[in-house]
Amino acid sequence: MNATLTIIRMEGRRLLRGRWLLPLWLLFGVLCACAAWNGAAWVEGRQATLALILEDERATHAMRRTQLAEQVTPDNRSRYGGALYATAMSLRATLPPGALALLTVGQAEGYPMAATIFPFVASNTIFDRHTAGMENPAVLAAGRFDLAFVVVWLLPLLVLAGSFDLFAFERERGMAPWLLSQPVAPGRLLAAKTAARALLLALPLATILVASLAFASEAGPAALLQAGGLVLLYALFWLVLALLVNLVARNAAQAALGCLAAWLALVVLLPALALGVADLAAPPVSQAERANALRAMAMQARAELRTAVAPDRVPAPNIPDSLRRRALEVERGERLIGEALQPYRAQQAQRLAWLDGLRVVSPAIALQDALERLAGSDAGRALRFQHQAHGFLLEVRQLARRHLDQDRLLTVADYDRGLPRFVLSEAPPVLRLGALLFDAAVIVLGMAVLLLAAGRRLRRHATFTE
Amino acid sequence: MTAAVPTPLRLIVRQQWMSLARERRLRLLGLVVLALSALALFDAALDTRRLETARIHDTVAEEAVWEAQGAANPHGAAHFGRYVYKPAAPLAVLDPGVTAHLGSTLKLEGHVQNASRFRATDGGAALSRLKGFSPAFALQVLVPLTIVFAAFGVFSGERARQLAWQEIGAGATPWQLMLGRFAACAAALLLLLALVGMLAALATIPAWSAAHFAALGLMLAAHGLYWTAFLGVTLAISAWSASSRAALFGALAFWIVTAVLAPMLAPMLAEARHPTPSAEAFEAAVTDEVMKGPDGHSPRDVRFAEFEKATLAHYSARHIDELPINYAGLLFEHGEKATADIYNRHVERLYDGYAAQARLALAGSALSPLLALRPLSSSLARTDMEAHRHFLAQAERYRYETVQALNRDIKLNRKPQMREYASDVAAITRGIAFAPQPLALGELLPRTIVPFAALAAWVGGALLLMRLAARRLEGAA
Repeated sequence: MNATLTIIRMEGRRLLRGRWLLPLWLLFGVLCACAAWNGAAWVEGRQATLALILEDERATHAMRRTQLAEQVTPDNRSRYGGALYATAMSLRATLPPGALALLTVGQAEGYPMAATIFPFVASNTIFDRHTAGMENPAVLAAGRFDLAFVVVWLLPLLVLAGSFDLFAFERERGMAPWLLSQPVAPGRLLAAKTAARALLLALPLATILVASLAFASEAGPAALLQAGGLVLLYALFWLVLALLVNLVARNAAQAALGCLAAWLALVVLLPALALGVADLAAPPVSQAERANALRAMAMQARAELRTAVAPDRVPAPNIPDSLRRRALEVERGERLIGEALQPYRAQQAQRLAWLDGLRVVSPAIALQDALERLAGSDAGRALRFQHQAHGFLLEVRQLARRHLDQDRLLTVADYDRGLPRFVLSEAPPVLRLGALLFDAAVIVLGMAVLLLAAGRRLRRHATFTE
Repeated sequence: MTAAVPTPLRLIVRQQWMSLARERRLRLLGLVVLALSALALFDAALDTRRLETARIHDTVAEEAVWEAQGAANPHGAAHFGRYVYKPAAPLAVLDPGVTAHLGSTLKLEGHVQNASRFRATDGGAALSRLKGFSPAFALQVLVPLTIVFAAFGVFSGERARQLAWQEIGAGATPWQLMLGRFAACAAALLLLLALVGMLAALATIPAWSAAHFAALGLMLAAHGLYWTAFLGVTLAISAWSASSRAALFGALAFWIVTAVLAPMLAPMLAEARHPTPSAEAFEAAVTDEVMKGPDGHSPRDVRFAEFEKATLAHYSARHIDELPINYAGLLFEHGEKATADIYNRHVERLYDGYAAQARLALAGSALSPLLALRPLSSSLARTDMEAHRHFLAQAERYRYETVQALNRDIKLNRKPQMREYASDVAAITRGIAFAPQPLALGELLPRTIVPFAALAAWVGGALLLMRLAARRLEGAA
């Protein structure tokens, strides 16, 4: 044990004397600060947009309340249908960013952040206004420079830069046989050298990230610890990978090449390949085809009900009969849309299951997934929002239906009490924790595989004299 | 008979060429890059074919939905809207540009100019964030990395240095050594470029034409300049460095900054300098302006008083019921023109903002040649924002024509006594066709001059660095 500590101490001293450790920490700190600043700016923009959406809803309600209070008379009532009829309620459902949203943009730009809800709007169109963003596609194509990018893409390069010559340096200089002739087992020697790098390389980098997050966000200690723990695991994975490469490479240049090739394979090529596999096994839903199918259903509903038009009642009720006919059309259309959507929903669910499952392919994907879940910008949360927004539409539709049945107009008191509001219900913490643990397990499993390979290599080539 | 004596430069080129060819690691690396590029090209070609088939299918299905309306209120039909689909650019096979981040579908409806929707990047998961692999990625990011690995040790390291000293001792100048090694490596890159060009040509057979080959040739030439600049800088770093490790670190740092960080940071900084409004803010600004004008749906809007007076005077009538046309239809027409003008102004401003961002990002090509290559390559492939804007402009003309044809039908055919009005909307719009044309090569060439000049400047700069590094080599010798 003493020998191990001595090696760790010596290796640590050597690393600190190398004069590259401090610049490396600084570089990572600068990258994290830039990414956190950029992420915070993105969150701010997102919140401003959500505020604009909610302000639109508030202004509409305020205008309609004023119309009811000051302008509507029994003679001009028909001109204020928007304010009087529950069927014209204009509501919004929004998906607020998570507490750690600055960590990664994740899937936030690939899913709608809000829904515009009118009781009679077709349920498949409530996200339309919030689906197509105006973001410059060149920026999207370049990729968002957020903390997840710094961690998933750049942190491995820094860890590898600091450990690519973990043992290759000694082999290149011919010091390996001398070192291995000392009364320390090779495994212990390498473990101690790796531990020194874990303490001086992996741990400080994870700490820097946590510090950046703590400074730039309002996340609680639990979320910060989870983020820090995941990043530390990921850094350790790359350290162990450098160890394995060092057991194979004969000199530092070979080790550098090996480390870079591994980085390319795990961060660039394997995810691309996995995406290709997902595209083949579960191709994405053709949204254009789906839109046409649903529009055809809407046409069918209209055609079916056109044949059964009942004359308007005399005297006319408070709410015109045309809106009751529209309610029937919407109801019929909704049933048809629901049926038409089923195969597309199944296809989408299958694709997401593949995309989710394929995160086991590389720790880089698993970490990206975990960071997105921590940030609240994951696909699961976006889909949960969509599901709840759809449920909210159905609730609002029921309310409008009651108003139609009772022939009841909206009043100033209704507006003062407040029209229905959407509140997102987050997933239970245990579900999120389970997903995070799965991601962590993927990284740990990857590390275990590398350690096994390293152990095997060590047993076969204990002398490193070839 | 005397055999021709090869010049020192030719000898150096031959020696370096053989050295490259004998290096098993490099052969393997080159083959892997070529195989990956070929695979990506093949995948992109299949994808383009699939998208084109889907586009044709969707166009037919959309037409059927439009026809299924039968007799309907024409203005209601204008709100129901139509969908149009953007054709895939053939050279997107080589460089998809921003295609995945732009929807290929556009909903056209009355009063509104929608943004394109259904982006390929929508509805993904964490895996999607790590992006797909495209031929452009292989050519613009991976090939430079291969150049770094192939060339970092050309002058650095003990063995390479010893060889260089021997060659200098034999009469070659350091500049000849530098140029010779540069020419040998460039020839290898040229071979790779030719193979990629052949594969790209094979993947785009249906689009073969003189203009297509000209665009492809220019794209390949741009990539050639980019690779050459990368090679020159790497060789200069190799000659400048004291050890092979320092050369590797230096060249890798150059790659990370120019091929990874700068292309990501430049558009981001450009957006921070010229912020893009959110879709909601854009719509709010347009709506605000539209709301300031009269409501096109309401003939009772008092702000139409002047228009009503002018119309009555034009038709010599005293009341709108006496007009030979339907007044509501006329207002729809009038309102559509007003909102289209407002939208055109705002869209113009939005795209001016994008253009300003693109100019700023291009200015960053002083730091990274990739910032010149990317816009150049994607504009030649017609996968950049300008190509998209060209499509949107054609779609807007089609939208305006369609909506106004529907409004005109109400104006001309709806009688005042009709409580409900329905007309065969498909028949009204049958004569209006949408056949989008891509940007002609001549239209986009002026935009390629500055990026080409930036790439040429990079090659010039790289040669200058090589010259300086050769002098240092001479001093060391």
